[in-house]
Amino acid sequence: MAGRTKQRLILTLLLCLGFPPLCLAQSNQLHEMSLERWGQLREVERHQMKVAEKYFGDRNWSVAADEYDKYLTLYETSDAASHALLKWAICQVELRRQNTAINDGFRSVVDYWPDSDDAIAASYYVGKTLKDIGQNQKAKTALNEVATDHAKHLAGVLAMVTLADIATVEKDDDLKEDILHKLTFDALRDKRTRRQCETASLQLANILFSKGAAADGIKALTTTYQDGRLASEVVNQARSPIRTLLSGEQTKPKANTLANEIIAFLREQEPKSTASDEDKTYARNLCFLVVDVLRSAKRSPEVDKEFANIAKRFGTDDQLLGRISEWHVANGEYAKARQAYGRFEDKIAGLQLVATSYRQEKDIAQAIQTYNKLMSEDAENQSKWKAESAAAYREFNKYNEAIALYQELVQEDAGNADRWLWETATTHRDAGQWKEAIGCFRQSERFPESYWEMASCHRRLKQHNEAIALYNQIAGGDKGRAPGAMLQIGYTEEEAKHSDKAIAAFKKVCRLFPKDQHASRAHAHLQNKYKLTVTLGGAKQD
Amino acid sequence: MNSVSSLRRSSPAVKWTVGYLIVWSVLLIEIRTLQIVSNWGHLALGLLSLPIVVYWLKNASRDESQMRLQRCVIGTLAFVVWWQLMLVLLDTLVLDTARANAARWGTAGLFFIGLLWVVWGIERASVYYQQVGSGRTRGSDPVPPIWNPLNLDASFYAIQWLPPRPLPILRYLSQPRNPNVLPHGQRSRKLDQSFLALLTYTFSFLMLALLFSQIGGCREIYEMPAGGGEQKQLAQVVKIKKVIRKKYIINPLSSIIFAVPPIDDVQLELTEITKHAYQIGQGEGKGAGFSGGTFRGKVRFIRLEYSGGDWDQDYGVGGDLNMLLEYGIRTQHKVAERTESRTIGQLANFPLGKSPPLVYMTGQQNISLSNSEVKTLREYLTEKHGMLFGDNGGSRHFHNQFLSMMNRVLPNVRPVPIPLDDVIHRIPYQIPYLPYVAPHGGKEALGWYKDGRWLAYYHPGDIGDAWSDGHAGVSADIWESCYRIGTNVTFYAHSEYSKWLDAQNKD
Repeated sequence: MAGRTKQRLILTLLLCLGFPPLCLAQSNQLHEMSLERWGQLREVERHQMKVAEKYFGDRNWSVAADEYDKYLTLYETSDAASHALLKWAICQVELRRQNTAINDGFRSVVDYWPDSDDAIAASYYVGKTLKDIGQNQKAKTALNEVATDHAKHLAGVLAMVTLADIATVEKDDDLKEDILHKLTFDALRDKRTRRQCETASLQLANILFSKGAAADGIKALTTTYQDGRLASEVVNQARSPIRTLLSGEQTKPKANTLANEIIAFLREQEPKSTASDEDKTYARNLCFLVVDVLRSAKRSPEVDKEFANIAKRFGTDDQLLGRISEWHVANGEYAKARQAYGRFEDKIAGLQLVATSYRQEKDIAQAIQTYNKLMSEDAENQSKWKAESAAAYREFNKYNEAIALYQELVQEDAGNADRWLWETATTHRDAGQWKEAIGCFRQSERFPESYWEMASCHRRLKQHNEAIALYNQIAGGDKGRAPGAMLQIGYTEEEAKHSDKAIAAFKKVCRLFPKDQHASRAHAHLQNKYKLTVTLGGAKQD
Repeated sequence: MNSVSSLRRSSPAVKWTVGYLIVWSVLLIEIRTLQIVSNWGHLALGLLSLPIVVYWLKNASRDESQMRLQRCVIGTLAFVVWWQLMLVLLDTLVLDTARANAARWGTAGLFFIGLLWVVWGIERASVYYQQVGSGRTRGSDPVPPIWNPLNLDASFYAIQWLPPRPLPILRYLSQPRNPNVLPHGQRSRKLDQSFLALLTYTFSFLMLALLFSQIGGCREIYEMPAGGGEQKQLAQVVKIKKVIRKKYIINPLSSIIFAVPPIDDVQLELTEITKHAYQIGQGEGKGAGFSGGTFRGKVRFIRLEYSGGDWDQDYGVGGDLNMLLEYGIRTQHKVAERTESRTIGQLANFPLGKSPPLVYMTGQQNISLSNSEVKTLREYLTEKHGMLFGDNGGSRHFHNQFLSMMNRVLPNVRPVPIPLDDVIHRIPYQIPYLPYVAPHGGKEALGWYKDGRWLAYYHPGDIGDAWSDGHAGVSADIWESCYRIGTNVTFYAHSEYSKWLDAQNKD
């Protein structure tokens, strides 16, 4: 007896080592066979099943279907026959023969092996496949049955998720809410169903908040989140409904009530004592969440009050100042925001934000002045601030100043010379200085992007032959970009008024890369502009 | 009554001519509405006008005094009749462009001939009223205001209407008998009369033209060919009949020389007998067709016109007409002589139960639909039980445009890939894989399914190009497959429509 147990253990261990994907798949996939069941198969059955599973794993659906079919022919009475038929039907779905899959596969599993686990999965697949081919009414009936009969099974949960999806498409809000409610409160949550149930609880909370039912929404979220995470998720889900309700005159009171209830909930969550650092941080974060709710409810005076309250209770630090200045920026009050940035303990971070605010305000002179200040105060990161200055110049179309800074960076920051060279080149390009751009791109080591950009600049200079030579080099050096480069050769020849060569180039794209999207463009262009029909070979059976 | 009695008294030639014109007018309306009489009937009637015109022209030359007027009347009537005759002829010869040009230039000609008659009439009338007026002014009684626009002395001619001055106009409206309250300019009465006549004539002509074009438009109907058949997969029975070749016994010593051809050049005479195991159709009628059809019904290929793009890609002869003809050959259903196009707005002209079961839409640029067009298309698909066959004519952009349009038309239905074993891909032809010319919008046919049927079928790979002459250079098996898909979709739409009509009739 002990020997048999040992044998079983060794067999199980070997199977686990031999088929790790199966073991992993078992936990997530509805159609995978359990290891226990696999162990019960005869060796010959396992061999045939293994062959079929291999093709299934390789997504070679046609061969996999044949192998499952062979299994069914050879081992009709096997324990895994239902599984083989289920997988055969899934192969049919992948081969776009969904009706065959339903009628000859999934339904046969249910009819011939009604008590098996595969039958439950097959029932779900019937509904899912019907939904995937647009037959929503039939799908609803099938999925409802699975959801009702197997609510605690993964199939039941997946059926409910699919039903919720149908309800979303059909804009059936009542049905959707009902299903999400079941998924949130009634469905069994294990490691296979947790993700679906958690998503459902978030969606349900959002719907309930949109109806103004704050307590119910919070209850839904409580099924998924506890403690610190709960408060932030409540606010995350409530912000959008508050804003939406606030936009309508009739729903405004509902929005205010919802905001008040959420704030009351957040206040309730505050720890009674803030003696420990942990509690203090938690209480402070809750206050920030209150600010978020007040901002969504557009209660500006209360926001200011709440910030003052936070400062009074927990002191002022960079985080609070950052939140305050963010609030001012959102209101377009840049000067006030800069006052707050000026009080930052981390002066460099404060100055950086000041420069950013000047850029947002489109005050280039002040922004550059701030970056200069940063360069002097933070000598270690001088190149970073210089690059920011150059980017600011580019933002305001002051290309020559930007180029001068990038050229300085090329000299000073040799380690990133290629990066600064590229920035110089793109700035020349943006400034329409095509020749200078070509010179810089030529020095760059980024192939094939640099060649692509150079070709584009040559085309702007009407130097078509140079552009074509570059595109040819791209086509020869980078297989992935070859179709695009050859298409561009066609367009370049067209710009050079060489219609014959352009046609030849477009035809070449169609001939060499018939399945590529560029071939489709070349085909359409030939047809529209030159009234020429070129074959792309047409379809082939997959 | 007077005209009837005067007609009775008139000569037989007049009676025949009037009778001819009445019959011709009736047939003119018939061709735009019922279309029972064939084009050849219309042509025959039109050609009858030739001897009538010749007779009247000869007759007119006998009477010198009335010669010019009579010739003008005959010329005008002959122009109208022969213009319509030419349209019917071009229609019969399927010369669409020439027909459109003839229709356009003919309308312009009719307008100018009409204008000449208006000028002639006005001139005659003003001369007449001048004579009458000169008699009236001799008396001493005050002259009442004249309102007749044919009379040059009408009170409203030569009044300075523009720019409008409210006070004098209000004063004139309160005292219409005193035209002097309006400011009189230095305008010519004759010029004002001519301008008014031109405006009135142009407006009337446009209104009549609109009315005449709407005779057909508002009563447009679509009828399927009557018959019946089965919705089954096409099974071809091929019997190869062996022809036993005659054997010649040749005497090698014979003086007659027999030229025996090399064995490779001997052609086997095999006779293939291919026949359908059943007739393609729906319902229990006789002959291939649909139980919801009528004896004069035909399968038509209607293309949708829309703004923003090239709706007419591969249109007509050498394009989608190939598909329509192939459909007729393959199903033995009666098909129209040519393909047609309609705007989306015109779909509303088809009544419930007589609307086209299928409309086709292609292009490769933008699709720009107004809200009313979206509504019309939605009504056509859902309430009138129609179906839309979309085909990507050559770009990913069109794919996105089509999906976005369908999202507006059917917001509660999501597109799904149509299974290869769906009835639309099985009957009458089994389609083992989706053929395409170029995968502009992917490699899967998409469908919009609602209430137990496909409301729209979208082919992503330029199927229309495969139907056209030259077949876009694709191999024979691919364009054959494309014809099969076209046949399947057309048949599916018609049989679903026929089933719906049957169900309506039962209700």
